[in-house]
Amino acid sequence: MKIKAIVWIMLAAAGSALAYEPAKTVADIVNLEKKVAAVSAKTMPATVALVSEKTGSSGSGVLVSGDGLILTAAHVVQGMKEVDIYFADGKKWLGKVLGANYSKDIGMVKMVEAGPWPHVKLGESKPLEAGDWVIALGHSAGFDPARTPPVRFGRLMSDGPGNYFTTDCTLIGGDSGGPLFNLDGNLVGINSSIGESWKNNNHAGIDGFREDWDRLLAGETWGTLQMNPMANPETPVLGIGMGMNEGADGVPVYKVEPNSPAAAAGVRVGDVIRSVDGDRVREGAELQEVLVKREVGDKVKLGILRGETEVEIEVELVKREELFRIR
Amino acid sequence: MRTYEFSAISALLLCTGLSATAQRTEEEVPLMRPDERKIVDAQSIEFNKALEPIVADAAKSTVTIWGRDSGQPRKLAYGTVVADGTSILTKWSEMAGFADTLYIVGRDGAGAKAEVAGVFTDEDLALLTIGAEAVESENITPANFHASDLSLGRFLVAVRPDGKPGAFGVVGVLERNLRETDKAHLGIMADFQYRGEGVRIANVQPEYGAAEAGLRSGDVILRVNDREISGLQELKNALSGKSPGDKVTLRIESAGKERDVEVLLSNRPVLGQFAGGRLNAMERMGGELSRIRDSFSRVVQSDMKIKSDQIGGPVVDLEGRVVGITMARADRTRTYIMGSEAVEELLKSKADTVAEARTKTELLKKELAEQDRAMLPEMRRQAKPRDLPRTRRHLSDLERLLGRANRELDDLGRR
Repeated sequence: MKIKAIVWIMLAAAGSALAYEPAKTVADIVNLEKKVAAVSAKTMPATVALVSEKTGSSGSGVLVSGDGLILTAAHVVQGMKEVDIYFADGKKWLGKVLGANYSKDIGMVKMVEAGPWPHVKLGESKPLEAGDWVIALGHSAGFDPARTPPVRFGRLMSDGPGNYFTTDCTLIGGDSGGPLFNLDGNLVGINSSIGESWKNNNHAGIDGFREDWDRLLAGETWGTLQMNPMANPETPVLGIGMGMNEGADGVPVYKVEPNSPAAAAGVRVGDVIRSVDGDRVREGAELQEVLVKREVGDKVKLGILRGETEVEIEVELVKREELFRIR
Repeated sequence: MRTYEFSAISALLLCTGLSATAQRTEEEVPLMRPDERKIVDAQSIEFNKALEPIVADAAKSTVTIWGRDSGQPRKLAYGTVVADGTSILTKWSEMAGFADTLYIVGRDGAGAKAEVAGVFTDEDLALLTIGAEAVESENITPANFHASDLSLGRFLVAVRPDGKPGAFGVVGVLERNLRETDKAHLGIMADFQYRGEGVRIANVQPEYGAAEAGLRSGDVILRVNDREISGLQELKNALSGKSPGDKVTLRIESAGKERDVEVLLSNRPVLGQFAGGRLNAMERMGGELSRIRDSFSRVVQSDMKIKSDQIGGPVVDLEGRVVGITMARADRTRTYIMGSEAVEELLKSKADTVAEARTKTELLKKELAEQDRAMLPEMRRQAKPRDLPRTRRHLSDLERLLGRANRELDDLGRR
């Protein structure tokens, strides 16, 4: 216990840049206000509404290059080849829908006109953690020529599942596909969905776009729009089947998928998984909850009881869909 | 152990006017780890504590307003102490049903009876007068309104009478007029079946600008001043910057010939109110809303997460200056705030008596009912199956407005 605390403090000292901008004093908060005001002004011109002339449905998007590349949510451009792009000044332009990955709810659109267009810089979403301040924009309740897209300020509540994360920047219909920025005004996410609580606003991480960039640009469409993270094709998995624990403390391995990372790392049927990265897991649901919050490519250390002996095995997580593709 | 049925509890954020996915109870943030909860909880405490010194002064200008419902005390709203300290500005629709039973409680717990002295009906604000005993208290002092520049991203803090910050938000949209009847109106109905360039007129409303200028059904609007119009949304966008009384030049195509026509824009009829609104289950996701939450003439939009029974109190900036008052919790994403300049101007204007406020509400209800009767056959004639969601939305918005008028009348009746 003691050793663990020391390690944690050292990490905090070394990686202090990762902790959220402080808000302990009025001076801290004045500093935050300045940044939020600057980000709002800087990113507003690149935030657009995406409207389908056919259905009248309306979402949002953000320009990320001078030649008119727009990032949005997959479900905003679902079933469309072209989409009307409205800027805050009410001027309408035409956009060509490129690719979309429904599993991550990310999509790409390109302005037909050459530009140059106002645009924002890409940030990173993987380093984001609870407490990080963020700014959301989007055309809430659809495009309204009487106002600019409303600015919302909040912080990251929870990282994951997978490439998704949750903030308390309140979103509503029409905000889908709209941008989420860090305090430097760099794009870190795209608005995706909400739950009942105002603290439950979900965004797709920008790093998910990076991973799929070429396929999206090439106009490829794939994946499944799956709101249950456990059933999402891109959910990070080990590649095992879980048995009933019948009072035992841990998760018995009932099956190991051939060619899965679990198999490659040497996990065997009959092993009992008792911890992930040192945190105890007592039952299957707990193990699932821990894993769904990780990202594909992350390595996890499994504490395993094998017969009488305890072993530790490191496994790299893969997408659920990849598991079955390999097989 | 909870299961996570995301499909049942979350809604995708596309705006189609159809209602959102069904909701049920859930954990506030599913899958949140204990370490994450610890961080954000500590962050909230730290943030609120840091804001405490800046709300201290304005807390003395903040009161809680109570009413009695069959003898039982009920918390109605917050109020802002104004003028010489004998008046309280607060939300009228929350007071209307309790007008004879009102009393206020200030920071030190001292209470005083309050009476409705006047109503700014159009802004849904009431001016209460309080007894002299309350005015004596040093914890009830008039707000010192500061005309601040409420630019995008500026921080706003709502104040509680007990000296704690009540809610926090940022300026999300600059000050604007939400009142549909103050918007410019051409006086045409567009033909939704038309697919060409411009906007083809289905109907011209008599007595409005378009009719006076000689426009007819079948004419196509190609341009507003120098701006080319590709469709209905762009026509709306082009007119949104204009005010009633402005003149615009329209390029019209009629029977294969083009001509320019000058049209005088008028005020939008009351009917327009439900075309712009949107009733959606998503609006309520996140908490109780104010009963009257739009049609304000001069408000800033904020993402402030405030409870509906805490509306009416002052809002301060980070220097602790009163920069406005909260007007309504409008939906999950919106709280409206009237800036100090607008509040001070309103206080200088003449308030309605309670009886006048009641007459105005009755008139609005009547006008809506008449517009409803006139409009429905037109909607039915024009509607195609794919327009159904839109029509349904219009109808539900109309119901909402009628409900609002009815509730106001009921409240007044109970008085």
